[in-house]
Amino acid sequence: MADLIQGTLDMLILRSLTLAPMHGFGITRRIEQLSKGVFTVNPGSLLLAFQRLERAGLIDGEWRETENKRRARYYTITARGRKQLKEESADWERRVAAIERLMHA
Amino acid sequence: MPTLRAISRGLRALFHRDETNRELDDELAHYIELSAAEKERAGMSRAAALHAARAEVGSAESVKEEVRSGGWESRVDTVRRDIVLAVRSLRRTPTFTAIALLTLALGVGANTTMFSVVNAVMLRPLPYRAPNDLVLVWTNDVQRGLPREATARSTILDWRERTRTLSDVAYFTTQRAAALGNDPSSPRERTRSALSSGNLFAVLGADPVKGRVITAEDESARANVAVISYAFWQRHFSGAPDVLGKTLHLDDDARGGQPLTVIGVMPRDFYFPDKLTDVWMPATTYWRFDRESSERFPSWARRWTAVARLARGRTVHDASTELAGIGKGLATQYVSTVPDFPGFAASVVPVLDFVTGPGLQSSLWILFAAVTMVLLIACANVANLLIARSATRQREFVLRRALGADRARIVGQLVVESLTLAVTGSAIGLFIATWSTKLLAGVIANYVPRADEITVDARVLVFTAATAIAVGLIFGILPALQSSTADASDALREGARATGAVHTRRLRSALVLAECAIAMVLLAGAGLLMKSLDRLRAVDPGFAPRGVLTVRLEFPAEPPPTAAELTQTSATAQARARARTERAEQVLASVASLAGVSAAGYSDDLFVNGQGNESITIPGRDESTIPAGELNEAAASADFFTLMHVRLRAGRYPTRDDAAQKIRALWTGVITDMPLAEKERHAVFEPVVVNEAFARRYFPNESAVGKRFCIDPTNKTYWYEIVGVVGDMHRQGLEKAPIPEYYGPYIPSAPGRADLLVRTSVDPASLAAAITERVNKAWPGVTVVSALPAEALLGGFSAQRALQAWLLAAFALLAVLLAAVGIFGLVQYAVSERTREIGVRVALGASPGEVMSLVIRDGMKMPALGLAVGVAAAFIGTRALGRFLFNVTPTDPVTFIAVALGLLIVAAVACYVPGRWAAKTDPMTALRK
Repeated sequence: MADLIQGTLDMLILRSLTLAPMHGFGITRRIEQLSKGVFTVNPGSLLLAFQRLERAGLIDGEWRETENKRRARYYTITARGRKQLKEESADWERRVAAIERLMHA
Repeated sequence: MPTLRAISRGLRALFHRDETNRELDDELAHYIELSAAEKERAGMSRAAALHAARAEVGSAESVKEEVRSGGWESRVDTVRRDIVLAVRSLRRTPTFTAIALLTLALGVGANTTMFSVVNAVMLRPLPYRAPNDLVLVWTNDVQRGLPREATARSTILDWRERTRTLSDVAYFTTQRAAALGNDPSSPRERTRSALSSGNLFAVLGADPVKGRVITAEDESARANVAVISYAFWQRHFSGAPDVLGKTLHLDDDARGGQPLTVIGVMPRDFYFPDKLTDVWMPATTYWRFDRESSERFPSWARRWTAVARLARGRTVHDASTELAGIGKGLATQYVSTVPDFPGFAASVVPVLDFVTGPGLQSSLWILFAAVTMVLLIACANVANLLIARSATRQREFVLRRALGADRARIVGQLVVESLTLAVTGSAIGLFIATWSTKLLAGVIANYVPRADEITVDARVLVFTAATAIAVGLIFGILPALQSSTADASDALREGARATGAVHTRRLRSALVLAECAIAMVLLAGAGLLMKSLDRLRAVDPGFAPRGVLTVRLEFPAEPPPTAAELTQTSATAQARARARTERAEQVLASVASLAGVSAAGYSDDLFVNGQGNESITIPGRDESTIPAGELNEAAASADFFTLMHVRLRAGRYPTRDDAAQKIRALWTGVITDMPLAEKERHAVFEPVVVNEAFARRYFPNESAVGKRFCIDPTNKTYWYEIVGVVGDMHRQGLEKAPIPEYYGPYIPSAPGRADLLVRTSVDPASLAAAITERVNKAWPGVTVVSALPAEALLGGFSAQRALQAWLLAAFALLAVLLAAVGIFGLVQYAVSERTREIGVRVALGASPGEVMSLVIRDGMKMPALGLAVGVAAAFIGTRALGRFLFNVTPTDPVTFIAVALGLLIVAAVACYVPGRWAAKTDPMTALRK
């Protein structure tokens, strides 16, 4: 297992939230699953990222009941968040492609 | 809006801290729960799963801390915690805190008080549009040295026409007036009225609160209209809302008693040219307006003062230069026909300088500088205390650094501590200032213009707030930087205080040195001013003001002459003058018969505030050989000089018969077209007594008695004959050298005013009521305006000087006191540092005297150095006092030596106290430490 690549946590959170609103643990698991366990998320960094994204207006947090009647904070991606994700994804693609080329050159 | 959201979240986090905390807790708990549940599903036991989940999350507190420190509010939060910490730590050391707060409160309180005066007198804008562009323009009588003389209207109109540096020029003149109520028996209301050009209010840029102002149309139509002040509206019309259109009767000479119609009321804060003027009316309503406007040379035509607005981008200097040029042109164009014409030179004075008067502004800045120096000393003292305090807290800081606090964090906390101290101290200071400002404003009300405007307003509050922060940073940063440099390994070692201590002592020594230097400068300044006061007190006024009551009287106007009387104008006027003189004598007799009164007499104003602008001609002498300079005409009744204890130098004192002679002289017809010698042969002379200054100037090498002189030699020549020479009286205060004067016999005029002088054998003020009653009974209709001891009136001339001297002395004493506290603190610290060493010395046989001299010798080093620096600074700095010194040079060696000695003694006492403690050191206890 490895730590996330610097600066990608925000993008990954936004990406995870495009499918459905989720709580913190859900996002952690989702990132771990999709990366097939390559990346782990530090809960502290996660909460910090939530606060940052929320204040930037990219996500919205709200308290909801979970399936098993527990209170949990669910996060939804906002329109502004989707726009930001689009830009970041494009940027990311470009960078990955560049690195690919460099590595296989 | 993301920014708004960030702010609102931040604020929520700040103010609903518990809730935010709980939410974070909830979120974390939920996370752990889910994580544990998953692990359980994977086969772990409940307990093991929870444990693993928690381990995964790490310390909940550190997560929360991390989240919290992510937002902007965390910095505010840190400051808040620092403040709480600061308050707690300050309360742990109540003595330190109390001394620091008291020092700061005194410094800031004094500063705020002084600033509120500076603010009211100089900074608050005058009630005109763009007041800094307004100037007054006077004729500058260069020959007599009188820069503020009135000007003829024709000359002002020439200025207006030719100037490019002034955008518009208005003019005005003011005079005493009495407002008559509709009820003739009600007392006359004394006020002043101003004749104003049609554009005066336009130039001032002042709008009325009611109605309209005087316009050019009013001027050309000679409309009998009046604009009144707010105060006059309230006083005379009881604030009646329908005041516009009402009739106002003014008893003044200027307008022949025509009633006025009120057309406007000015705002409450408006005044022009002074706060005594209540009524403004068109200049053209003056009954001699046309006659006087046609001339420019005779003194009776020179009545007006110009007020003008500088053109855009022009300065006072530009206007002065330009008017000097215009004046030269006028001088070649119009050749004076009058010998005493002062010429066409002009002085341009910013309206603020006119309102505050000469000297006051620099005097206030000096006092403000002084009080700022006191505040700096206070800061140095508090910084000293803080350094001493942080020395004892060294281990606390080292520990905190060892635990991970970075240097910025510790400096930050110390600065917050200083600011907390500064803000609290300043708040107390501000509280003191609200009281002291009122007190000071009351004391100076009669001597400082605009003193009634002194309040603690928004500008003062901003000033105090800024001062508080500046002060906190000044005394906070040095000690904070110093204590945070502490090296952990060094300081944690027991007894390893030496390196830091040397550094600390050097800093503290420098602060004490600076304090002593500043105190020396202030003391020198205060000493010089006090010595000036003393020199002033030593001046012989030339009369004995103690025990004399000065009763100012105003005589009513007389009814107009009847038709029969009009056929005999001269005879009627003489008869009336004799009757008035008779009445005045009766008043004297009635007052003199009061118990406690030893003598009574009259003069015109006993104390002269105006300028001596008379000029005379002496027969047989060429005009050009008659010396120029200030000259004043005065009047005195027969007993005046004996009653005032004025010495007779030659000839005789005036007698009662002189008054009758003067009445004859005044109403003797004059023949205008004959040579001067011929005129002298036909003349009736007014007998006058002159003062020594007069005799010295005009008859330096001969006896003045029996000599004759005249005024207006080319036209309606009027003659005087000198019958006596008396000593000089300081009638313009002790500071101004007496100017030449000639005293004619006193004859009351109607309407007119006089000073009734009463010599008493008891406290003069105690007789004021009884004298007023006698006056009113002996001559109904006469108003007693005031009754004040002559001594107090004479003192009033130097009141601003005395005030300045005492204030500066108070600040200097405060500075010395604070410096002494600083010295004491430093020496005491040094002694405590050297307790062991002193113990050893005592153990080796040093006597208490030796120990004491050791401490004092050491302790006096900084004060002595500071003194030297201070003397050098004072040598330069006291030059700023130049114009406020009286018969003292700015580097008066006696004063310098005296105050330096004084400061040394204070410093020695401050060293002596800790020295005594050191001398009592018990070697056993000292060594065991």
